[in-house]
Amino acid sequence: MKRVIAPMLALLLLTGCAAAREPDDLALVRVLGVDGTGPVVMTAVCGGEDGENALRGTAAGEDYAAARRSVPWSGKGWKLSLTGVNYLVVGRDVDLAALIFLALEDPELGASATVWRAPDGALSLLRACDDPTADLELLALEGVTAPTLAQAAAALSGGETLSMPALRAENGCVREDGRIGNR
Amino acid sequence: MDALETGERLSGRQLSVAAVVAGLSPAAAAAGRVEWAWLVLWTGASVSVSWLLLRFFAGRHIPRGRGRAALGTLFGLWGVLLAARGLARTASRLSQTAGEASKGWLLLLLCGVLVYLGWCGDGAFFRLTEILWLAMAVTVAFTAVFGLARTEWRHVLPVGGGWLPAGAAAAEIFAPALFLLPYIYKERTPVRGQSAVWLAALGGVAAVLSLVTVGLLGCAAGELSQPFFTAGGLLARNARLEGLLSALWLAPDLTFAGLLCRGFGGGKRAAVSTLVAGTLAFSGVAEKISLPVFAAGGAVLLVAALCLARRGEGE
Repeated sequence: MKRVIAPMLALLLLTGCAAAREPDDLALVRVLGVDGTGPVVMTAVCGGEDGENALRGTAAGEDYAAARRSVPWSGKGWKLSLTGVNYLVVGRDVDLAALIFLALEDPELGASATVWRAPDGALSLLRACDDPTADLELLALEGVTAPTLAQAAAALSGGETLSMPALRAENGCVREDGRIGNR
Repeated sequence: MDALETGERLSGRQLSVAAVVAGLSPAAAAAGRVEWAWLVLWTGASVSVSWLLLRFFAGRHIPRGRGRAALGTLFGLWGVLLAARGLARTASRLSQTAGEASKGWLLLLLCGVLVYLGWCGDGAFFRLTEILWLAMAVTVAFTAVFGLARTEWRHVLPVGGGWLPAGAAAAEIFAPALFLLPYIYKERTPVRGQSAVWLAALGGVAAVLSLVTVGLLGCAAGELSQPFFTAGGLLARNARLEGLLSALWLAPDLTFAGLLCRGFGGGKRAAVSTLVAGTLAFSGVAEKISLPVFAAGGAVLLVAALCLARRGEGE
């Protein structure tokens, strides 16, 4: 029996705990904005808690991979984690198909994150609004539908038209401004 | 004792369970990359061929001599190459979350576990696979139920794609069954009917996994590196399950490599085979060999065995 237990215990070595990050040290990013194809600017917004302003972080790189390597960024003593991203805001001059597939291959981002468009730029939108996370949650509750990363990838691969909600900033809040297709 | 015989007799159920657990590893790798309908057809063909082979080899043996020695050597080498391919695939999947630089470390850990398993007697290894089968049965059932509930059927139908890629994938899925030949040699109880059912179940599971992956990701499945595990993140509404699926699928991955590394026999031979497979995986050699080449190699081994077999029970 110990010959069975020993290798099973050895599998614990493969869990990757050596690189674990403590939850108390992490700030979960809820909204991730991406602008540009090269250079790429990524803007992360964490939901504010108990009246605190939303925590923001920005990173830039020559391409998506370079900008991504800057994560976890540090902001106010926390490290930002992308495992909780619910809203991917795609800004200006972005190769949508390339971004969608890079995001799908990302080990932290999930395939269920929804895709939104910010024609005037994700960075400017997320900086102009007080609590983008709450605003986007409200839009989703009001029935504004946005495709998930998986649905977006399926549509782009299948040559279908992808319809995404367009966003704009108004009086410090995120508002829907019609819909944008990928064509 | 050469590569084509082992010291222990095992039950037909143990052999079949090992083939199913091991086959789940390439099945997950192929899910979303090949058409599920072609997998179903190739399953039918593979199960039929397996049944006929078992019927043919009943009452036959491969006489000792140069032919048997050569066949055993080729059998072992083919298994080591296929195991290297499986190890590289597993390490690549795990290193995506742990960072590219850790691939060598992961290969070392995987080979360490496999060396230990290889040192075990055949009975211990196959008893372990029976335990792993229970865990995988629950995992596969969960994946199938929740995956089918969330499948978008417009992605799944109509069926397209080529039959050859599905054939090559089916060859890798059913390859572990070929590596049970040394053990079946010593099996007196006919296992034909039982094996056919288990192999058919394996093929059915592979087809369902592919169907679910395509149903969740659409055409994008073919453009991702790990489509099945990416689709795993969509199974639950409020939880990310792709990491858990990837961890649970270590069981079939280790069974796949462990079974193939026993091509030269157990004990020290299996340990050396594992280390060679790990080295080939690290160097990237096995990944450069295409899957159809592996499938052709398996076919050559089968034909060689058919040609060398003679009537009688042998030694």
